[in-house]
Amino acid sequence: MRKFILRRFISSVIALLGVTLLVFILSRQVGDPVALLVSEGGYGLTENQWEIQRKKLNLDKPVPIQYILWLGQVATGDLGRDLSDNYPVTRKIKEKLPNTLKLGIAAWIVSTLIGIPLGVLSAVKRGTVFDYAARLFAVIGTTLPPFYIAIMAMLFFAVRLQWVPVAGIGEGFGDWKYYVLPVGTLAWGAASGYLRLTRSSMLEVLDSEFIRLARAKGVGNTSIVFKHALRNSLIVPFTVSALLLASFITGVVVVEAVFAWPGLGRLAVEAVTNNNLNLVVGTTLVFAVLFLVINFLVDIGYVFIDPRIRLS
Amino acid sequence: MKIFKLFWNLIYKTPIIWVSILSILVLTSAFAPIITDFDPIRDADFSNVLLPPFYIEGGNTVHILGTDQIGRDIFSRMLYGGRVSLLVAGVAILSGTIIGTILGMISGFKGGIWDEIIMRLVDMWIALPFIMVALVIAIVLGQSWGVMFLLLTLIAWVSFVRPIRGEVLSLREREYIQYATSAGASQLRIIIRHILPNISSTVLVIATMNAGGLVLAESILSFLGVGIPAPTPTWGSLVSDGRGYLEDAWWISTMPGISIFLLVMSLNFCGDWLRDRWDPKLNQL
Repeated sequence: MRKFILRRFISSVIALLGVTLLVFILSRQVGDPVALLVSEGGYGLTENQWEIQRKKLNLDKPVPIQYILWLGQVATGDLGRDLSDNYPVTRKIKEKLPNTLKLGIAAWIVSTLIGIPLGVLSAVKRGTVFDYAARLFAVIGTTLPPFYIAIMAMLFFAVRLQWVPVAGIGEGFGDWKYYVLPVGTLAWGAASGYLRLTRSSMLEVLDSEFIRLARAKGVGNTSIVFKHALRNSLIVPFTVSALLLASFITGVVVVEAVFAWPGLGRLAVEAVTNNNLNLVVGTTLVFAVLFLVINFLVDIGYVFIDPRIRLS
Repeated sequence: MKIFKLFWNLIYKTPIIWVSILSILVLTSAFAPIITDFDPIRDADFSNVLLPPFYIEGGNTVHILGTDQIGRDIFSRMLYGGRVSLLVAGVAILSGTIIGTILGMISGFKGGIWDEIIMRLVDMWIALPFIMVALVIAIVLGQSWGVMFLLLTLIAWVSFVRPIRGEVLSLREREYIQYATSAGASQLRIIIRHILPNISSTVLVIATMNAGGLVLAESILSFLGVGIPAPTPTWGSLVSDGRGYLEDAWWISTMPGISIFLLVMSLNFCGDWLRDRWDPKLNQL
């Protein structure tokens, strides 16, 4: 088990290094970084000052060394400055991160609470109207683009019915109404993924030998579903949650952009429109770290859920 | 009664509905210049701004789905937008299939260090929040058709590698491959003549199943403004354009979204059907 965790840890670190390398290489493709710092075309900058700037940014050193130095800066929380207002990128991210986390965690909780029970029910009641309804819910949730769900929800519930505010975050947690549409949009997509996975793995488990044995022994249906089948079928949605998480992050970016949610995703999208490289690089790295950390934690959790791994 | 039953079976057991929707979307996009007289970009008609679809009061049958904020015909913009969306997704699935299949075959057939490198690359790729990488690439390389093809290809290739590697691993041990080897066939010949035909159904199934996802990805990137640059319409950017007019003109955003929905849905159902028929082993995600 320790070996398993160690291996996962090492592969996460390698993936993280890969991401940073990719981002570093890409960010050096925009031309001279000094030119980004000064006004149009380096106007009013002498040859000498240019050299000093280059030294300051370590551009006089070989590229691999530049990467390592850059990595060191990133690790200590120095992501450079916002190119438009010279505000440290790290501080901007710190301001926005809590909002994204609030949104993400709320949506994730809602999606699990909807997706997994619906998946179980739809497998247990296979072939009934309920099953078809649940699957329709999942099909629509995975085929409709998240921005479309968001806009349509906005149109109906905020513009037409005026039940909830159109966009924004409100003040603190008290304004729960601001959460309804963003969380609902995000949760629908994620819940659909959970529903499909739980349903298919539950069907597989319900069809297995040990369930038949339990039935033959005379174990009641409730006990079969909850005690024998459910525990075993939760492993699959758990293991592939990495894939769900990737589309979840896409959803967060889109939903924040639509609902003007002051979080990291919106920051990144705005930075792209304003051609603000440092900000995009910074948010990308933060998202990548979040993503890898969550995946790693899921892998560890997986060890505790599934004894077959713990004992091997 | 017999005819009714035949008809029912046709609808229920074959993906005929989805194939029809798919063909309609493809054909109407392909023949857009014949179907509509309006130019999707230049034909702005300032006297007919924000007209509703024909079935709503105030609409007319000249602009059957209404007009946008500067009086362009929404129906024709949708047709032309479909060209872009379908073309981009089609090219990306093609290049993704080629790259993914080749890597999967190398990984399975060669094994050893090649296998290790390719599989680690796949692992790393899956561990990336792709939307963020797309944003970085879009800001660095700018927005163009080429960048869009590149981004979608980068998404597409990865889902081919692992299943194809698995398939090749088991094919490699078959007797006829060993006969071919002992008969002196080169590795390239074995791969092309004996392995490729055997994995072709898997490749086709994965390609169809992933096509819908690529259409979605394209629409999301276009929506966020990092896709094909304006003023070229795509379905994603059309939905985005109508955002500011939800109150007065809901149809601008709604109509193109329905096409995305129909396209992705029919692609997914066709993919499921192909999988169930040709490659039930893939039945996991």
